[in-house]
Amino acid sequence: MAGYEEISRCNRCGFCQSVCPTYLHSQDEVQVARARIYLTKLLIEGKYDFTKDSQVAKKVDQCLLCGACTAACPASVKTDEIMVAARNDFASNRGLKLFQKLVYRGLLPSKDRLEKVVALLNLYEKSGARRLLYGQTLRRALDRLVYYDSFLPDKLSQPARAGLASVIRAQGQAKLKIVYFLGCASNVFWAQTVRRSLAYLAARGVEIHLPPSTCCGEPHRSSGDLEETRRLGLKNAPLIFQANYDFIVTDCSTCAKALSRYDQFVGADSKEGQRLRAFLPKVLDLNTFVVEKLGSISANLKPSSFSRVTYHDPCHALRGLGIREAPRAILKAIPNLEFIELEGAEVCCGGAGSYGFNHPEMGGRLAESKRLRIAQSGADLVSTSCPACALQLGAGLKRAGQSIAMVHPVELLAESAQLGVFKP
Amino acid sequence: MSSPAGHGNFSPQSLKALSDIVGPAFCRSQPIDLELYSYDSSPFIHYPSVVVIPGQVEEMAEVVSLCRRHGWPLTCRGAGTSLSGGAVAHRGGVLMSTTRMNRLLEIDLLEETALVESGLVNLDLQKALAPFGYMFPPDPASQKASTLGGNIAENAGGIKGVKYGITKHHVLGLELILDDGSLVKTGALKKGFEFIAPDLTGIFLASEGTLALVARALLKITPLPKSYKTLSVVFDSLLKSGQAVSAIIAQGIIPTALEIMDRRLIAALEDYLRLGFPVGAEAMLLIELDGLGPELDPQLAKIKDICFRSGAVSLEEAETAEDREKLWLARRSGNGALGRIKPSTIVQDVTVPIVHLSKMLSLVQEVADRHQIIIVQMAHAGDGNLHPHLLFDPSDGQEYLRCLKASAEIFAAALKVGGTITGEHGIGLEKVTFMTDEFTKVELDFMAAIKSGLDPTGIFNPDKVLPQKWQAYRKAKGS
Repeated sequence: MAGYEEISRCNRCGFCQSVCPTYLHSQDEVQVARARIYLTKLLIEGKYDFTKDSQVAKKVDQCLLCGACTAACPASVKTDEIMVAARNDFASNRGLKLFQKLVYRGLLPSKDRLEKVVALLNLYEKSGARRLLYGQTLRRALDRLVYYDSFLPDKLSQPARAGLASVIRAQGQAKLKIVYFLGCASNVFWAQTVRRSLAYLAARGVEIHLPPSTCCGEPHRSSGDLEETRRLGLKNAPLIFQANYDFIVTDCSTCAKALSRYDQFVGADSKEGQRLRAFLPKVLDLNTFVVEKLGSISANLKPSSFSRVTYHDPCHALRGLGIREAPRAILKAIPNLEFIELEGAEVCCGGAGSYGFNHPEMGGRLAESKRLRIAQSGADLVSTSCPACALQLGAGLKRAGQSIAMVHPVELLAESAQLGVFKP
Repeated sequence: MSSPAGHGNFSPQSLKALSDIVGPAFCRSQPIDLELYSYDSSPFIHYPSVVVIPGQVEEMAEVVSLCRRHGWPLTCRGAGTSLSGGAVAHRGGVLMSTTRMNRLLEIDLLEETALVESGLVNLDLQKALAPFGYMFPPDPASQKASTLGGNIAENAGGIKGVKYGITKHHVLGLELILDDGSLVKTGALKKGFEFIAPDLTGIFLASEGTLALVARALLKITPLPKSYKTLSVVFDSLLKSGQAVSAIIAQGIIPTALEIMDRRLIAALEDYLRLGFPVGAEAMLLIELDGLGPELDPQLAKIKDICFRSGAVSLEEAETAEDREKLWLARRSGNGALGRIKPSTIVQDVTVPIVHLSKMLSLVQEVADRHQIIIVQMAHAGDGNLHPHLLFDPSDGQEYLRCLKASAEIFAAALKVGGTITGEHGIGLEKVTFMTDEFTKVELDFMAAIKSGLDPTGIFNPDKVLPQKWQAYRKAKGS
């Protein structure tokens, strides 16, 4: 397994304890970065064998990959990369886990299948089965199901891609030509966000191309399925990394982080990896693109109907791409809307791709902690730039019987610019 | 390769008794869990037989009493950041973690005190005090992670030690768990309610969990200074930076902090934080003054003058609070950042009278050259507390042995000039055999008498601090 050198830079100083969310919510030293690094070291040295000891794999799975430890580590040990390498080792030696097989391999790479599942979920909602689930009798018996259900938005809409042309012309003279990379979660859970963002971009003179791309591969990478990561990378790369696009833009922080290091996804030394390296600086998350490439954002905005907004930093944006100011700049530009800094905005929400879904206990605790901070902020609107974070935050609120509007910064900007509904 | 003993001599009944006290989720005996509680920040690795993480003082006390009844060794730890092996379970047995005992019970601004549980993290206390304009002055570099109980057990110092003193100067009273599980108070847990009796608090400072366990502590808090001046001064030799420190102190100026960093550390920190440190410079001295404001400028002028007269190459004043914070973040990251050079470190913390600081810095460098190892030097120079970091690769057994020999020579050199072998990291396992060099037989007998009075069966953190000959369990077993 790669990374022994990375591991040996850890001299167990313990600074990761001050930021590791799983440690701070368990106060248990087995759930902190230095323990995970030490464990991986023992694995490499052959002292433990994860095929025989399920406890070992479980501990490696407990990492959120949020990167907070690396940012606080005086030796900059990349625990997230070490964990991915360990998970890859598990996957190739022990085979994929059921969730990986069903969802990551089975669903995400296929837009058709994914959308069919969403249609089924729609049926579940409309048929009244969902109401039944929340009924008192079944509730106690089905706590776990209620937990899972909490991740679903209240109303599911048509996937974003439905009814969209593959090219959306700019209004007026096209100033820029971009690929809009539509992620799986944005497509099915953030359809309205996508439509509003596209409307905004088109109105600001951007020509938008929507190639038939598939999942970015990050869920597969972080669960250690590097084979599928590479396959998806090779499928997407020729569609999006082309010389005639000025930028590759996505509303999902996870996709943005993934695409910005796509050479590693397809194999850094491979021919395709080398070809696309020149394009990587063109990958921008939607907030950065709007703030840095479209000129002033504050013209012709109408006052917001909300009064206070706060922002949650997705790990993949903040630590993955170093994005902090762009989303805040957008939120602060909206008239009559007070921006309130969320205490602990930088702490992982526990969504972490499918972590919140697959680790109900820790995921639930992290979501609850975010919910309390949001309540403290007094915001009537929460913004974030990652559909997985939005699902997790929404689930936490819902389980506490609360609901609060959740938007992408650009979606709010679109609304304020009165470009709310996109008509193809 | 050694392995966790698993349950060792712990029968299922024993494990159940412990788990009944703290709850099954907080009682661990799986080998993999024991593995992850087998280390601290030192090179020592020893496996506990079982780990308990109590959430209440009563649970702590019950565990202690059970250990006493069964004769189980009991090692108590906070964040596990000991640099001398103080937090590892040398004899196996029960390892108790206080990380869940992390409540800040009361801040009393009128009396300027804070009542805390022992597992509260130092920095979390600082964060809670800051909005009220207060601080807890002891600020060990590990303050992000290390707990106040651990700070007390090691009598931790820190960067601000020159002006504000170390942990022992800020502890007003303790609530302790004795070896039979009973709770006693020393000093005062509420200010103004001190007993008219000998204050025994002091003997538990730096006792490293060998006498009793700290459950709660009443700490003295201090108003935050109104104003700071922070300088970074570059020297072309380590010796000159040491001379500057001695000269500043000799002038009667007491800065808040005087920190020396050598060439390798400067480079490692620059690699981590990109602050524009002078990579290649031989030494850097960080100086901080704090106070009300107006009095600082004349002091600063004097210090600048002394620095230049001692041969400073350049001098820079931190302009903003942010610049200042970055300098201190850099200093506090020193230990971890050295992982960039070699994976393992032995950190020594010999402390010498300030007049001998320069000489000691040179001696350490000579020791490094003689043993062909890398010793990175940093120092809380203002109170003569050196922090030579001896770097080694664990896969190179010879290099480790050379580091041990070098450590012994550093201890001897410090003692020779009237210093001590540890200023704040503790004796732990690491320096036990050197205790006889620093203390007379009578002094060690005195410490052993206190140990056997408080812990006659020797359950608390066995083998630490006192050399074997003076350990209570030997007497208890009649040897």
